[in-house]
Amino acid sequence: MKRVLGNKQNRKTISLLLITVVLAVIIGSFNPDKFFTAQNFQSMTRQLAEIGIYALAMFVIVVSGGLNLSIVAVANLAAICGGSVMQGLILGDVIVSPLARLLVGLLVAVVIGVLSGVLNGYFVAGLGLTAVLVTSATSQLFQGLALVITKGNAIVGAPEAISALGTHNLLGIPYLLLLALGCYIVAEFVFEKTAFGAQCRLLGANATANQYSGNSNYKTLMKSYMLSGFFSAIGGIVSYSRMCALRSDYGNSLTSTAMLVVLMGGAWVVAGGGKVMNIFISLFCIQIISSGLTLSGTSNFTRNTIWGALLIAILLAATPAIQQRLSRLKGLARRRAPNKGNAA
Amino acid sequence: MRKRAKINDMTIRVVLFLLILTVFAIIEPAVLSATNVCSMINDSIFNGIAALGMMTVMITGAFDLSSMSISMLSAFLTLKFYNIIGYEGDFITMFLIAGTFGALIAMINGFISQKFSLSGFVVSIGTNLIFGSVFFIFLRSSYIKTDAMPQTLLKVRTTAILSLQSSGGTAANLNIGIVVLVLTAAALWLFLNKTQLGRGIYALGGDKVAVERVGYDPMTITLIAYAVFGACVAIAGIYFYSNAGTFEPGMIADKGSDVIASAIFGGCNMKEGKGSVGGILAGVAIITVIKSNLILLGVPVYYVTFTVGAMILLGVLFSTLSEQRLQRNRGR
Repeated sequence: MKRVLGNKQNRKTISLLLITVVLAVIIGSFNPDKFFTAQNFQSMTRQLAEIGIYALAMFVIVVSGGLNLSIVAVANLAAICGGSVMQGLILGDVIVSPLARLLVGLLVAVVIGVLSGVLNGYFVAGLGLTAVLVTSATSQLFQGLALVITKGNAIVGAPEAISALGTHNLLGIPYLLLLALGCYIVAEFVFEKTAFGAQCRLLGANATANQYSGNSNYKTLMKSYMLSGFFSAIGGIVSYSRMCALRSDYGNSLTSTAMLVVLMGGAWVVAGGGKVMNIFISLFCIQIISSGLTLSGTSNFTRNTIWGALLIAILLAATPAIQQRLSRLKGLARRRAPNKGNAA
Repeated sequence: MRKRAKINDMTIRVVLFLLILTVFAIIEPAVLSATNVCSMINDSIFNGIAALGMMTVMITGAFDLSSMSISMLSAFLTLKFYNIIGYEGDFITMFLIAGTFGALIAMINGFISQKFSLSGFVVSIGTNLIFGSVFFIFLRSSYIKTDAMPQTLLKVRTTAILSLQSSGGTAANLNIGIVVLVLTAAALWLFLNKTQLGRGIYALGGDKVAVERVGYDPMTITLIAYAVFGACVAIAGIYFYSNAGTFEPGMIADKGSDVIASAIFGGCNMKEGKGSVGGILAGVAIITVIKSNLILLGVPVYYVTFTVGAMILLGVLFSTLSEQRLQRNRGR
């Protein structure tokens, strides 16, 4: 037990868990009959799954020291291409059976996600340009491409399997939550157990060191952008299953929520740091705040301000200057405590 | 030798600009008509001023996502300020007041990132959300109608420094805003290249440790760079909203991607602290030529985003590859 608590990484996980539970109790107590219901849990976790997968797509890039602003655009493009195949709008004459359409549609979505990653990776790793600039330009490209395919309209309707994914539960747990959990387990495996994960962290912490230890920065970056594209495509399918409609400009604000989740998970604070586990917990934390705000009916302006303030607060709390002050406070509290005990 | 390399980088952009313009003019001769040339120049004003500000921050090695919120917020505060003192406004004080607001707001970003040695980019994600919304929480409406705007500011749209009457009867007006762009560019060029502080901004992007050793105070330099950035973006913002005639927070949001695109085309590179006024102006020219002419060329509206995105990436690919080739030749 002492070893578990003593580990600094574990302490962070435990404090995140505590924050989440406390938040849930506080926010739930404002609206107990609405908040603590199975229905609210299910709708919350469905939303959470969507943000969570986008956050994962962001995390993959943030770990290696970059940033991906194109995840939502890629997700929409992948979902639009995949969805068009599923509904027979593209290749409808060749693939007739619904099952085949579904499978080919999923494949198309994933392939498009990975290809978009190759494009991003080529510009960032191959040409050595800054990730923020490149991904904001490719975001425009992908959104534009989606606009061309849909001609500016929404494509309404989804095959049964997809809409079931977005609405049905397994033993009271939404399928989407299970899907997100699966993605997090894959990410946990990749970043904790494989050589690629270690290379990503090393690249984020020190690119020169990664190059000198015999790894190719180009290959590592390329792979991480492909993985990010893959997760984005899955995020797109999740959005599709929730909305049962496809739009080129859906969910643009999700990018900053995803960044908030990744930041809270600690990926930005330490270069190459951040645990998948912590991100999964902070996801719940953010979702609880978000649901609480929705239940109390606050405006978009208030919500954005709270997100922004939270982001800055998390950033500042992790800086050495503030950390020192915090630990000094803790030290004072500890020194005072035994005195009190003696007096009693 | 260095001087020659600089000319070459610049030449690539000018050649690219002329190439695009020529291709467009061959497809549709109306591209070079007086009306269209004037409207292209008018389109470039907002983008140009904002991109110059963006460049100043990028030279220091940071990047700021909150440019459009700062722009919107300082324009809003300026308009409210005029409303409160009951003044109809004039062209000179509006830029000065907006510029001051913008500089002060942007310095918050600079201060936080420098004081706690955080990445300016991550800080700006948070402040972007705050600046964009905090003042509207307590207001009943975030919208200012045309009647409620300071009336003199609305004249920005119609005031021209040059007006050509073409044979077809349509007038080609060169908007007064171009004067602001030229003045901003000239002032910024002088500041960055001829003053000690300006050289310090370049130095900060090159090597943070060296800057301190030479005797500059990194905090001062960062704050000044952010102030210049805020002032430029705010001037662009008040120009945009006066020109539009109404105020609504969301109007300006999708302009941000053009500013970033111009900075990319202009050869800004945060990694090495590179960027020049000339490069940015060339980048703005390229983006404007592409963006304003697509409709004239008969491209359907829903193709515009895609085409602009594709051209940005192709342009960046082209200029980066040719720059790399230049460097390799020099190395030999």
